[in-house]
Amino acid sequence: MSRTASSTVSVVVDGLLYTPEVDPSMPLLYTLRNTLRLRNPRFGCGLGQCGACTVLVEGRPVRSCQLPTAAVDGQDVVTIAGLPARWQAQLAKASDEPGSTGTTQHQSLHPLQQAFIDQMAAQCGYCINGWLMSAVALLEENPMPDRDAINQAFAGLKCRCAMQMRFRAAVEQVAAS
Amino acid sequence: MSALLHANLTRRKFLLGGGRFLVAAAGFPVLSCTATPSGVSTTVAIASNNKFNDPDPAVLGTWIALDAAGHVTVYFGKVDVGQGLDTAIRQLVADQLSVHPRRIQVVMGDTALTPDQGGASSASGVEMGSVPLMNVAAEVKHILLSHIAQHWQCPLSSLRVQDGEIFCDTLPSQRSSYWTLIASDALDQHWLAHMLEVSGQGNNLNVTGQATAVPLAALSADSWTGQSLARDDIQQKVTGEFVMIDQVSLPDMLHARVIRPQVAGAIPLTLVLPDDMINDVFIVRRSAFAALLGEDEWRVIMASRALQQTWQEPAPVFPGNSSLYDYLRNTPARMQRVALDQGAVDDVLAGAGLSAADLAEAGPVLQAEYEWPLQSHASLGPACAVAVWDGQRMTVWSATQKPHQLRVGVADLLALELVKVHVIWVPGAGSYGRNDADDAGLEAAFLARETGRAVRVQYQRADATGWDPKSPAAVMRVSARLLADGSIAAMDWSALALSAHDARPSGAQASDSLIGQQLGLERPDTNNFSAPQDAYDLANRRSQWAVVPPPLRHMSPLRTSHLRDPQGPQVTFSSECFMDELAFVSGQDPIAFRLRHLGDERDAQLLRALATGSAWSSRPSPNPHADLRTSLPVTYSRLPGDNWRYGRGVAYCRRGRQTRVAVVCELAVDIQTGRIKLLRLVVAHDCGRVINPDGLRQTIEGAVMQACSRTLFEQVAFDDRSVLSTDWFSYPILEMASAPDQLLVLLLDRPDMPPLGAGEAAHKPVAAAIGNAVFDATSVRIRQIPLRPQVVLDALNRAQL
Ligand code: FES
Ligand code: FES
Repeated sequence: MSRTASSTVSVVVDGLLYTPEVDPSMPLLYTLRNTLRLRNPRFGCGLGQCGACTVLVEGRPVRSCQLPTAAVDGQDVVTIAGLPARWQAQLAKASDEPGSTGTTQHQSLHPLQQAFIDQMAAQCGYCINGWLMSAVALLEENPMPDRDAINQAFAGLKCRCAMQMRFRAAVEQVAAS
Repeated sequence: MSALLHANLTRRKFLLGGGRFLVAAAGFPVLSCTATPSGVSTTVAIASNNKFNDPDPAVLGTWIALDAAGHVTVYFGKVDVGQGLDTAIRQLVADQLSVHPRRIQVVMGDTALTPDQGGASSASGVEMGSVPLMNVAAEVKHILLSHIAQHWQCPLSSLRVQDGEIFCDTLPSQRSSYWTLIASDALDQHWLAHMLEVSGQGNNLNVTGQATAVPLAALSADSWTGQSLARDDIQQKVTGEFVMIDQVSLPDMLHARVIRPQVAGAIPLTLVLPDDMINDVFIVRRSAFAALLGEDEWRVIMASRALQQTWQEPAPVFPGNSSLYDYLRNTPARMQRVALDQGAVDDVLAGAGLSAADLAEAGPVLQAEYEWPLQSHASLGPACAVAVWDGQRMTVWSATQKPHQLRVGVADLLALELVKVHVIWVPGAGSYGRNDADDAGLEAAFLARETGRAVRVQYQRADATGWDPKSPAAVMRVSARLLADGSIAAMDWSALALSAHDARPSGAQASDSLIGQQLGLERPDTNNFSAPQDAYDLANRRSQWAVVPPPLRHMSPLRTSHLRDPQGPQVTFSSECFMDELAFVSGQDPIAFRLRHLGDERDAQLLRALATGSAWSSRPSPNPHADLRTSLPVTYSRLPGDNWRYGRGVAYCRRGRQTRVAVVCELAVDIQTGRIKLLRLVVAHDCGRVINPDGLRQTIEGAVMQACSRTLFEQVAFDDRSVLSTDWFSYPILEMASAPDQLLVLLLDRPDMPPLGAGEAAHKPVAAAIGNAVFDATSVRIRQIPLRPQVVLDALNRAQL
């Protein structure tokens, strides 16, 4: 018998450094959930078809059920729990830039999290990682997306409670502000 | 039990964390899910309910607890499947008790803590589930105020309560509060042991005491009822604080992966793990049931992929989805039921007693047949459940909609006394009827007892979409005769359908589950379907259905059960498309045609409100200017290409006891590709008294959008031996790009009425409204679901021949 070889992967998740020893081919989803016990990314299909497992890797939305853990060695991973800190860091960076007016606003939530709350954009919430993370990545790249851009950013994501209109409204709320 | 308290949830979550988990000081209850208002950060003592015996609905303290710190806990025997039911409950209880809803937390679906109110069922959460809780809240207020009245020597009627603070009109210097009373020794310490009168059971369970709840219609204008109190769970869901079933984890827990056959009905002969896995993973096999278990979830999944298997396969039994409707038409029906029979339908259809003018001008009997496929529940998360057996007692964490009934099912499967089974509901991916959750709960319990370990069952996508209970397929035929004045003389509706539930809506019978059948239990036949629900007042009308036996009786991936407003979309697609067909042949406006047949003013008001609210222009279908996007009341942005045809459609129905709903759909059809672009949906909704308008809108929206998905995309594919729809590619559902541009919900509040069910009604008429809009746009009637592009294109092509 032989166990699959494990190796040490070094990864920052929501600002904390972890060095789990895992089967490097194991999808990141299982490393996050079972090894690191960070259980917000969810198992929806394991096939890259729904988005329930989405995290940001180096700022891009990624289906963690499809990504071998080895692929995030040395990289930065953000789950929905890390969004407030990500937003604070972006605010701080903006206020450092010359010419920026900066801000002293203390917000505990990412504006998209707040917009999801304002728009009541969830029923069961099982799908939320995909929609929220894809929305964050979209607005970081394109602060004023039109509906085609929103459709594209959300392509492939599933929500069985069918809250699509509200996810779109949340993005449009933040884009408009 | 103390080991369980260290379940892999952080201490913070136990103690603070918005208080989603309660810890019982000792004894049976371990973790319970609660909906907690923000602002209450401590756990609430539940010692009075902390017992092995089943919660007795006759005891006041079964339903409610108050503490000296100003918290109220109510124990609710239903569960929230994502629509914010607990928020509405908090509002209703707050008004009866005269406290801020912030003080109230709702414990749901724990068989050791909450009375059996039937679980999530038939959109009854507010309509029926809230009734005993309001009575209980009124009773508590009465008891506490009576005590004060006696103490202060003042009439009960002179006392007022504001957020738990008690004042007296005649003794302005006196002041007390619920919380002071509870903190003091003044109250009889057994005041919560007070007995109530119990009536009904399950959904109908009710209790009454000495006080009567204030009728909602008599509540003051500043009551919580009717306000859009925000749901706390949304914040917890977007921050990751919300605990769901897939996150429940126990120490020393095994991960289990159940093995389903490729071919329906097959029995495993040999299951062999590769050598390099036998130290990590083992097989539990009893009869036709088999599962792989191990410490490491991923390793178990890998093992399931590497498993060498041989199966004993039965002869092919399925008709294949291309022959499904022939199967329904040609298989002898098992049971027939006449749901409605008034007047002389056959005679009038035959023309008996009609004037020559009617016979000549209205033409022959009109008849049409509609087809609805099998559809999957397809919850976003494949079912997950955790169970532990301590040698004495079985504890199961499950996202079942009906925890009390699953408890009965677990006891049945394992031949345990009911008191030895504890089911704790934990929220899971949205379910809209019976999905795969009950199967997973039973399998986890079975494996926990077999192994003596805590076991977590997590289905894979194919276990879910491929094997969850399906919404039944049906062929529905409608015939009618019109009179010369354009009114309906007689209507005959009938359905040939698979039974509404091969697996009955609750998990109470192990024989209805996959594992039960794999272990050899025989399920009884169940025969059920539905008939149209509306207020059309027709002198001659018959509605009947017949149930066709399923192609495979046991262990079938095509077994049926309830999926949102069970059978409502099917039935209403046929009845409301047919109303449109009648309006068309007689050249009448579809709303006017419906209105002239409506025998109830509430239904008529709803349709008129919809016509106004959607800026409906009165004209018959089809749309004479279908190629102009400006022919719709809202001018939508230009769609790419010149092949779009624009149309609008309406449908209306009732649901359950009293809810009425009507919907207008505006859309465009690309006649080159058959693609449907939804533009706008307008819903008019009357479910009596509105408790929480924003919450209600969101609930309606989900029901409508999910119905759009079923209408446009969903169909279970299967061949003669296997279900082929096993993932999101082979079972597509609606995505962002297919959502309409706008969705407008018009609420008709009825402050004089009790609140009625709202979780399902709006799901029902959507398919018909879309089908009618497609006809309006293209002049082609499609009587088949789903309206995928190829189906639409084929129909358009056929019509041109
Ligand atoms: S779970 Fe990863 S995409 Fe579905
Ligand atoms: S909110 Fe339930 S699946 Fe999206």
